[in-house]
Amino acid sequence: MDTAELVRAAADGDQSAWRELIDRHHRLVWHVARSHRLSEADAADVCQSTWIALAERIARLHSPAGLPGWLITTARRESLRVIADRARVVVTEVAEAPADDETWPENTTLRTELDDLLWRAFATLPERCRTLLGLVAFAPGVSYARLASAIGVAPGSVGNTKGRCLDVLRRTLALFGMPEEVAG
Amino acid sequence: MTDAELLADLAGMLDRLDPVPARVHRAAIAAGAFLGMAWDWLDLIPAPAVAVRGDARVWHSSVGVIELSDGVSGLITIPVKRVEIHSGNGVVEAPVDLGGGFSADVSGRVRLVLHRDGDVPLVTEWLS
Repeated sequence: MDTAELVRAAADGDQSAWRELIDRHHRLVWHVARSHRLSEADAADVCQSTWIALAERIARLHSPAGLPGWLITTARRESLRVIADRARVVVTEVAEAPADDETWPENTTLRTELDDLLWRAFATLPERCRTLLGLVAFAPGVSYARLASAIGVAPGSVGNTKGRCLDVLRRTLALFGMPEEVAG
Repeated sequence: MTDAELLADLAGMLDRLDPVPARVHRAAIAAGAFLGMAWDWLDLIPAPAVAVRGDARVWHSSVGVIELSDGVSGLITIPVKRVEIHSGNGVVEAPVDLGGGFSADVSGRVRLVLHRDGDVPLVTEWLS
């Protein structure tokens, strides 16, 4: 079933459809929360709020096929609410990540050399590129309008921004030693 | 490597680096537990509370009282088959004693579900 069909089935009470929606999109929601530099506990709170909001509104979604975009918008809004509630400062540079958060990705051990290269290259990208590429990586079909809202640019510039970000990522990967046929 | 392949590798790397905790997945499943089911709201009225330690919040309702502090506890005055507590960790079932009392070591935002004999479940709003 495609996303729209799953949304309609879940709204009608099909629990397997609800679980399938979660399986397809829970990484996206988690990534949106974590991209706001939230701790694991706060990101878990954001995810719970987002899925509760979906359960409450799923029968009234204007565009069931646009669920990934709706999830991005909702998780982003919930992340900003948590940040405001906790009066935390959003840190915008990787190098400024909180030193005491041992659960933060860059403080964990990477599994493979490819992952290590990818992470090191990804971490050098500007914040806007990291946010944009993270979103399109987890939700390839999301609309440019939703992406534009998430990264704070005009919808018309999302395509160019995405292209530039991918280009910088490829060049950085090559610089870090990834074979050209892989880096592109 | 195409853009789509690079982005797929990126998603895989980010997921391996920072996987979604299992409890977050369980909480997401629990959030949709009542889709398509028949149930009734249990209206709650906040009441003053005195905590033994830490913070406590208390709600009264037509079927008993609920307290949220270090954990969840309550006293139910109607017959119930079981009490479910939904939280960020998923769903746990709290045994109800003969006097209608129950408690569970669950923290954070919670929702209680009272399963009644021969009637639809009573469901609270999310409490925190």
